Amino acid sequence: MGRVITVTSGKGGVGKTTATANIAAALAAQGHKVVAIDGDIGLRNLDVVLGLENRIVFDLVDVAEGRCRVRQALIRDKRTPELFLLPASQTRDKDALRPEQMVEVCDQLREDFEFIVVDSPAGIEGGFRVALAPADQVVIVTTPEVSAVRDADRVVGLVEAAEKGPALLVINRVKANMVRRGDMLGPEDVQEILSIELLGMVPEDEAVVVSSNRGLPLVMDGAHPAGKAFSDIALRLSGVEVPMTDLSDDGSIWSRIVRFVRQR
Amino acid sequence: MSELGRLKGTSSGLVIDLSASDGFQEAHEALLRTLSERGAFLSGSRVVIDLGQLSLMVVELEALLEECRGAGLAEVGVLSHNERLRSVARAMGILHGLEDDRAAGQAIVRDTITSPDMEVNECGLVAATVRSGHSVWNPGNIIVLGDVNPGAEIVAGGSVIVWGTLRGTVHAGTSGASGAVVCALCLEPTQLRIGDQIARAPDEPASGRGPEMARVSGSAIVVDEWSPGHRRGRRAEGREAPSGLRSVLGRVRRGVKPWGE
Repeated sequence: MGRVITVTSGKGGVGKTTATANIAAALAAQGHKVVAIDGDIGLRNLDVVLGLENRIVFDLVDVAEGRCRVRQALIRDKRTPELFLLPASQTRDKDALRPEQMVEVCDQLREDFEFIVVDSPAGIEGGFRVALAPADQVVIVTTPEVSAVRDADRVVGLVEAAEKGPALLVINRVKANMVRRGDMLGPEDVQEILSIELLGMVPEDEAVVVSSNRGLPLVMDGAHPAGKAFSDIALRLSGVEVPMTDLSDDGSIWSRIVRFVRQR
Repeated sequence: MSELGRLKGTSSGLVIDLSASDGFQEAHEALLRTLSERGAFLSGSRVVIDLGQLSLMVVELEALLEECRGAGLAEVGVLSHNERLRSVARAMGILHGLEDDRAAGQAIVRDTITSPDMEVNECGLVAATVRSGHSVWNPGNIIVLGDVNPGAEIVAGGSVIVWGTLRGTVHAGTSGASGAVVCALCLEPTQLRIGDQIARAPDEPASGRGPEMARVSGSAIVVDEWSPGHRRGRRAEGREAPSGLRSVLGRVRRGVKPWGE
């Protein structure tokens, strides 16, 4: 029986879709059978980030409205055969799907997949509630900015009110040197406000932009720090204990010297 | 005032001309006047009311129709140049065709979020960039003067011509008519469907090609250079039409794969 993991944030632009694509791809690369569902109807992106846009024939709304079977709408990833995408409709809007329809689609997918990763739209309105409805586990993505944390806090409350808690936290786009200087909220600060379990921290990485534009999730593309962080997150979701990476160690000679001196 | 409410006999039947009126009040009065003056003559016949550019509310249109029915007219049609009123009348099934109907009937960019299904006849013209999330539908052909962006959708019963760059999804020939084509100055669709054939762009983007035309040959979508002038020249010289081999060459050169390959 598969698990439904809903990735959400409240605030837009913090990296929900990137996180969804990479977590799904990493789980698949680790040998699990995974389907990623784009819950952002009308503003779909997951297909672009996964590089599968031109393969879409049917979408989530077609499945929910009975125009096709769920298997017909699934798109197998061209690089990772264990990864599938169920795309959103671009010409409809959030009202095209009701929560109970989403639950029904996910229940069908549970039989065939170990993980069903749902990319929630930004906001706390209908689309968010549709994405939340089938969730067994909610992952909240935030960046270390006060506005994003504020929105994440609101979502934590809504998730708990919907009895879908406790949610897990991913802090995205952490800039270690800014945290060190005290110019950016550190993971401890974020956790102090949200007080939910930390699932992982992802360093700011320019390679994320490149990979999104190329439609190739970072975890499929060599050893980038952000890709490593998403792989660790995927491992933790599947029950493997992985120690948190110390983001202040960027691997450079300078940081090694600093660490060496500090240890003395 | 004498013109208003005038009864005209045209090729499409009897027309009550209300097109010069300023608003519902004036149109209503003129209609009542005509109906009372010519009631005996009009009773039991089929009449069209010409509303010109007049913009009426639905209840006002219904009031006019009610007056006509009350006067014993057998059937009432509506002529209008007002886009909104046309769609209302079309929905009621009483929109009357104009001689210049084809020119007036523009394909409408439908933002599916804000407006219901729209229908236009024959050839629809979209003089705008069709953006992500927009869906243009026409049972006939569609011409786009502008680009079609990724995430946009063009669905035509017939052919689709894009005077611009086509990057979205196009489905031509949905009515089943063979010979539907998709032409664009720059043909880079996310996905191309013609009739029951489907193809997607090659994974490696190519650029710098000229205008191209996609059509169905056998059981595959093939893409050729779009040079109608050139072809006409050949035909005028009495040579054979381009052979199947040429189409296959075009497909190999361009590399649009049939779906599933």
